[in-house]
Amino acid sequence: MKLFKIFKNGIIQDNPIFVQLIGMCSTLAVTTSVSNGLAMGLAVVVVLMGSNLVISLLRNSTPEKIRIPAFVIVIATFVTIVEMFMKAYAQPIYQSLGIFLPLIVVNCIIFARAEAFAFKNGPVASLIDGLGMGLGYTLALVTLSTVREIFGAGSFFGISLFGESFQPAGILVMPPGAFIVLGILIGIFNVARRKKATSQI
Amino acid sequence: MRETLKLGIILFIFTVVSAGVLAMSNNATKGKIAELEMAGSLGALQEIFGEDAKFQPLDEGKQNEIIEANPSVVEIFVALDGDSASGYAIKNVSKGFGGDLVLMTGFNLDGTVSGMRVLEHSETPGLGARSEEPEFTNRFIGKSVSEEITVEALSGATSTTNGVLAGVNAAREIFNSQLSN
Amino acid sequence: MSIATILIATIFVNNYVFARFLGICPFLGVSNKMETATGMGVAVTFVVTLSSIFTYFIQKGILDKLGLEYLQTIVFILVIAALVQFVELVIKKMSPTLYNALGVYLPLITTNCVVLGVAILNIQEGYNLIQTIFNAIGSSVGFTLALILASGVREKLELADVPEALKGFPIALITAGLMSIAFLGFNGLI
Repeated sequence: MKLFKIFKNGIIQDNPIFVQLIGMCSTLAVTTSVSNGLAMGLAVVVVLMGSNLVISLLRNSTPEKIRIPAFVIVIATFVTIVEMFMKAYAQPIYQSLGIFLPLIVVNCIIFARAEAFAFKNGPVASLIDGLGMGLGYTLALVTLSTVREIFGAGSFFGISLFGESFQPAGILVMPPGAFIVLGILIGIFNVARRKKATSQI
Repeated sequence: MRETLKLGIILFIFTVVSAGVLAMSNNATKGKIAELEMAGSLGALQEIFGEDAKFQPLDEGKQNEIIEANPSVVEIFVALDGDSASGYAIKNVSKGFGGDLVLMTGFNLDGTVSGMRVLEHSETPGLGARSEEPEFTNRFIGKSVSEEITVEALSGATSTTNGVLAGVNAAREIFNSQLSN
Repeated sequence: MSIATILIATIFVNNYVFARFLGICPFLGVSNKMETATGMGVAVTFVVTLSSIFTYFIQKGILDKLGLEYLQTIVFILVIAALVQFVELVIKKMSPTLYNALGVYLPLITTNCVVLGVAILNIQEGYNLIQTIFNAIGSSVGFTLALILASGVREKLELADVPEALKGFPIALITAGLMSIAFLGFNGLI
């Protein structure tokens, strides 16, 4: 079914982080704990679905020349709404995401999907594309933050795993750890993709 | 020219609709946000001074005077034992590693710190975020206000520790100069 | 905070790429050749500094005065988008070669987290106008430094024997990670 294909695309074949390699800034910054990574991922899902839907609905009334500023306005509106509701109903997460919550506005993934998909397709397909890409992004974030939190802080979702005597590799929850773990994960994903491609020939 | 005008008008409509939607969300959420802040302060006050303690905000005139001279102060509370003051709590803002730190520091009338709570922060989980934990906040209890307050730093989170210390000492100075009579 | 402290902090201690994770997309995309890295760095410096000044005035003069702080995100990004268009036109006129070399990365400065990030941080840290300007300059110089350093390493890596799975972005990220460790060494400076 066509919609399912669009959905799956965002999670695997065109995974924004592991394949398209966009939306990196927030990926590196908020993956210090699984709860942060999950929260950011879900925030992006909401913004992606919302902006994809609205842009798709308005695609025939938006002249091509001003589509970029139009995208910016729609995306920024959704981000601000998410910010406000998070501050009111999920304060601790709002604070730990810090400056990266407003920075969702410049997350290349949302822009890229608006331009490449939502502007050229119907609302339902765009909604599903937003969901798929958003979940693919969330998956990447959760994977990265799981590695960083378990080995860098000895916990998962804030629950301490190994007890007092475990000395975590603190570097993993600091900036270098983010770069290195992400690099290795992408490398692993590449190997998996190559294997899949050769086995299909 | 006509085309530019038309494009401009469409963009303007987008902007106006967006501003309207945002204004509505703002109205829907700001009550809850203010409520949360108040609850956060109250919770911290009760943790510092004990569940049975009663509080009221410091006299408005005096509070405004202090805030004007010290813009990092958000609010000052008086802890009451019956009708008389048994202590003071100062809520102020300081710089952390990942953003602002909002602290509540409680002082007993005998010149010791009754407790400290970190109300808001954007610090790294597992590092600076541990400033919320009793293991760290308990280090402040009993510190004397007659000299600069220092505590053992959070390992791997020196910036966060320094931010907290800066805030606590700013509160200490205000307590000493304005409130301890 | 003194100007010197701000500059050292933004260029070294809290380097926007290696410590704050802003500007990663252009960092990965443009840092493979030193020429484009430098060109991008200069363009970003210009945009960041100008937009910091504009957004500072808009925040203080309009948003704060009218209690419209919640419009910060959307107003800032629109200002940045307009500025980038303007810079694009200027570069196109002044140096067509640079314009072609930067290609699609030029309009992408709009979505460069550094620009919006610095604008928001200026307000959050409560800087005055002079501190804002130097924060902007320092952050973009730090960004440019990160780009140039990385391009130096990556140009050499092109000729090295990298395992197939790690070629391209993975090795670039690991490189950045190692450089980030180096920059951690600046931590005790201020």
